[in-house]
Amino acid sequence: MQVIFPKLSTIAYADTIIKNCANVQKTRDISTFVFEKTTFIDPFAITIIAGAIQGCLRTKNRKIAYIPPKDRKLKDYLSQIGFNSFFHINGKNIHKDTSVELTQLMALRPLYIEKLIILIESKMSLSKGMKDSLKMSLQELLINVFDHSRSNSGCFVCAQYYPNKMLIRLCITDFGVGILSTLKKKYKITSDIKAIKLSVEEGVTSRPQSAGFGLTHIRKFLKINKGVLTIISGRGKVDFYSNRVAEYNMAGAFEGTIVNLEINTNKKSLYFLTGEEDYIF
Amino acid sequence: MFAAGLRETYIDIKKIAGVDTVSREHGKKIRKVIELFWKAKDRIIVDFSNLSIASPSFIDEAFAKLLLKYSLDAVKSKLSFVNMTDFDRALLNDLVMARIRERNLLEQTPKGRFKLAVKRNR
Repeated sequence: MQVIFPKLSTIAYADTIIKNCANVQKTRDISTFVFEKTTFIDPFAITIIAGAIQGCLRTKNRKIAYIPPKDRKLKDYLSQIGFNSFFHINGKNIHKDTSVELTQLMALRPLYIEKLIILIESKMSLSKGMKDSLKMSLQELLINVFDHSRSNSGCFVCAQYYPNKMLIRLCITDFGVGILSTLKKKYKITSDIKAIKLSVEEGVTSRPQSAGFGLTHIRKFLKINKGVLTIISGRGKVDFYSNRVAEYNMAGAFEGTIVNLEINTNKKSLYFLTGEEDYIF
Repeated sequence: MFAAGLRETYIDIKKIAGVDTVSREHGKKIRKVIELFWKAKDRIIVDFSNLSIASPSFIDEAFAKLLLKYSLDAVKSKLSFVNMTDFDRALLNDLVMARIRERNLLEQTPKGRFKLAVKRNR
């Protein structure tokens, strides 16, 4: 079976990429991941495809093949970012100035988060407010993965800085139970989109005790930053822009949760949530 | 770990938590230490040593959640936060406000008042 990835393998083509990844995991045939025509790939596609490859290889005697992109620049980039190692091809893994290597995390490791933030900071010039907001986002997303997702493969993290666009894309993908399955035990919801929209509201959590501020704060940060928060889970895809919310029912379901952040680096975005005059402490 | 004054004590986040300042479990550890001193001390000074925490989960669990058990006046007079980054102070204030909103909502129903009473007596 061959799965052909789009020329632009980005979150805009989430439906096709998710469908491709689900198909390769269903079959027992040799699966060929074809990137021949692909010229651009974003952290979203990198994390989900890496997870799919690993899912395939977990089955005994399962064989996969890889047709790399013809585009030389993209081929080198995939090698450098650590993508090729998921195909057991020796990549160069050269640290590029603008990317954060694809990483699989199996537990919440504060030191890794610290290291990642230092790495991001060294590669991308960020304001203090931006650095803290990024750290907050990363921490809260990883807490969500390890507290709620029940993923056997942890999560996949990848980030990319686009200096010309002054934009960071950060994606965290887990192959766990998904948002609807987690929240429906506590809330009366039946659709993936409703579950995703509920998950960013203040105080919404599957925990027995009150909690649920993580995604709310990330949403607030991206609102101030005029960035985009995209959450994909099950058949739902919701884009939270600063001034509107766009929701889509996808053709294929994604078993797990993908959280993709698009952060503008040209905004200082120091994260003052309440006016300082209202401060209690 | 603590440099205790007469009726005042310092809680050094860096010394107690190290790098474990991310999750709710980490935050709960700090709240337990605060509650240990709650009755015995008039003032508990929480020193962040300019550490960047940037975790709503940690800050909520360690500090803001106290608002569900104690009154705002009690928390304000008992706790002070020093060497805290602007970002963490903003987060703390935002989370405290959220917990006050939650408390006000709970106080409106018998079930909510019961929940708060259980927390107070724990």
